Amino acid sequence: MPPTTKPRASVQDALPLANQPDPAQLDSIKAQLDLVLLALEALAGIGSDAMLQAADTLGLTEAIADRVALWRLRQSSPLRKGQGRKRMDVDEARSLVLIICHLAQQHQELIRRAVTLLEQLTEQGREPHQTALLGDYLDTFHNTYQERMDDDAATPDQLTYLALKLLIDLLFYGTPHGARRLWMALIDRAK
Amino acid sequence: MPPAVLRRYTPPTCTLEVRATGSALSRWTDQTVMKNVRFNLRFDDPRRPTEQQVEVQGDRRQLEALHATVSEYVARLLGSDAGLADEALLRLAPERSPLVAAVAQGLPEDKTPAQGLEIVNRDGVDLRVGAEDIQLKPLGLLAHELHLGTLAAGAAVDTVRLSTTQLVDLAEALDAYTAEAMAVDLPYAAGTRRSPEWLRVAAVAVLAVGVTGSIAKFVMDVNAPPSATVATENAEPSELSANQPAPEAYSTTTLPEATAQVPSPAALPSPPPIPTIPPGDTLPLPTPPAGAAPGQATLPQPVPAPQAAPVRPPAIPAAPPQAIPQPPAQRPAAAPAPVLLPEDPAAMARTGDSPAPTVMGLPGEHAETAGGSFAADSIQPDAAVRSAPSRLTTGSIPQVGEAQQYFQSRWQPPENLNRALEYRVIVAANGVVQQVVPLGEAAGIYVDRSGMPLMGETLVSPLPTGRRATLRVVLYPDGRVQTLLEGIE
Repeated sequence: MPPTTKPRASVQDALPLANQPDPAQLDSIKAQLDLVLLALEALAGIGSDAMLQAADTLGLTEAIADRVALWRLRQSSPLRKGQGRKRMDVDEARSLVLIICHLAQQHQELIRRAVTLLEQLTEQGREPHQTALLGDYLDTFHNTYQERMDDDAATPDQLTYLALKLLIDLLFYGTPHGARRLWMALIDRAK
Repeated sequence: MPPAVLRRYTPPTCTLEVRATGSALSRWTDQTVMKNVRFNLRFDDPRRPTEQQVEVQGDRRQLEALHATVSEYVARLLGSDAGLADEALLRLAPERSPLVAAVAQGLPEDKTPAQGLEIVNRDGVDLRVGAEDIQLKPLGLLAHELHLGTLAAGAAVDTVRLSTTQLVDLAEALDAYTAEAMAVDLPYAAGTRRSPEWLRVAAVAVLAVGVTGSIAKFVMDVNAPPSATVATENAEPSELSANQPAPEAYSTTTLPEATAQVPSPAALPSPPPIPTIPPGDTLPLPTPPAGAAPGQATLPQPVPAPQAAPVRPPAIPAAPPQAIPQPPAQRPAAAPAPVLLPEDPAAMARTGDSPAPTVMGLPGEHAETAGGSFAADSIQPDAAVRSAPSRLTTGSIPQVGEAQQYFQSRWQPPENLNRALEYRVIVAANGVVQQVVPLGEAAGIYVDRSGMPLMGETLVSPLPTGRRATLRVVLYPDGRVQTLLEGIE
């Protein structure tokens, strides 16, 4: 197993945090991380195996050792059904950021294709659902969201928008500077 | 004599070139102190013909202003709250999308599409005000308008409309430049101790550094800037191709005789190498991490095409014949970029014109190959293409089938190969191999085991009516072979 201490220190440098987030900000971060992962899942079909594998590759097994730990982190999103609002600390959030960006990089080709397709369809005035790639993505996203989240207020249009926005965000996160972008976005959003 | 530095960043849809003179001050600092920074930035919009591509140039202040504006804009775009999206944010592209039209009806009349600014503007920060008057503003979720401000001076237009993929690429090129301004400095510091011999000899140091993501970087450390940058430009590809020890090339070239003048931007006729380089480098397996952790790769065959394909149609490979000089077997590593010397602007123009058909085909095709979970739903017009990409394209000319047989009979996958190898093969009208471009690092490494014919060898029977064809050959680790027709010209 790779050492976990060194990467950690550099992670903190790479993903700086001016102030310890308060609980409300942390909630926002947790919710957003879970959503970004959901978008990745829906688009690329990745599951917890891939996420754990990424954690291993990145030397983050201290924060995310196994399926249960991962489940606990994802379940900590305040949007989740059931006994949500479990604990997630800042380092765990950092680890998830790195895992997400690692996976987004691995699937960057697919993400880019999806965004490009979306751009083309929009130019042509066609609905995203008209292609298999985007249609399946949106379907999976909708279904999984409704299955997992305790959010009855979201309209289908809002969910579609959310899914497409997350897809576009993923394109940025999958670039070499993606981790920093995601981290800053989380903090921005939590303000 | 102060060295000149040329850095080039070529994500798929833009090219950023930065030129500078290194200052003598660098000797006493950890970093390169650069003077006289000039840059060229070219936006490659696949929807436009070459002559309509926008190119801007400027100095260090403008470059920094552009970087700051883009960074800030992207940060706000990503930080904007999608979860609480209100109706107004549902627009994709304000002018055309039906979604948008529906939404727009419900909007107050004074809310023009350009005021989709709420996306990034919820904090009340007016992004439109940037240094050097460079501004970015959203036109819905998928389009962005870059106001060039002072950069418009040398350009034909004062605004550029960027798609999201273009914005991603622009942001990445600028970030890569900024990050590298530090990274390149280390070898630089050492450079101050270079011996005179080193300076005299036209030694070419090729420094291999990982190229992350889809950006190909070429760093040329030209010891004294060239009588003409053009010369430098020309020298680059040949030298690169002659020295390719490393798969991902990042090369430092030292040229001895040159004057220490910063080339004026005008002296740089913005060499067309740009468009061809990215396809070579970015199309191919641009997501190396997938290889790093094979266990989790969900894309069964890392077929590279689709990523860049929509942006840059495969017709591009129609690279000039001059570029071919090297038989593939002599190329130990990928770095296909130099092989493509795009001196054929006409070809580029053509590619700009005709992306549509290929574009729709490729993504579809991949929806199936790549995302196993995406059951094909047949609403899609290109469903046929998607479900049987090889059959469809194979049928187009008999030579594709011949090539298929050729490789089928020769392809012996190496034992430890865990990804597909892809090559673009250009076949001349007489059926002879004119050019082979390995797509991706692995393809370059294994080129000598791919059974690929050498340049000049006959691959297929002569093509009809004196045309030449571009084939894409995919060799899978399990011994399968797929040959597709990319284009005929």
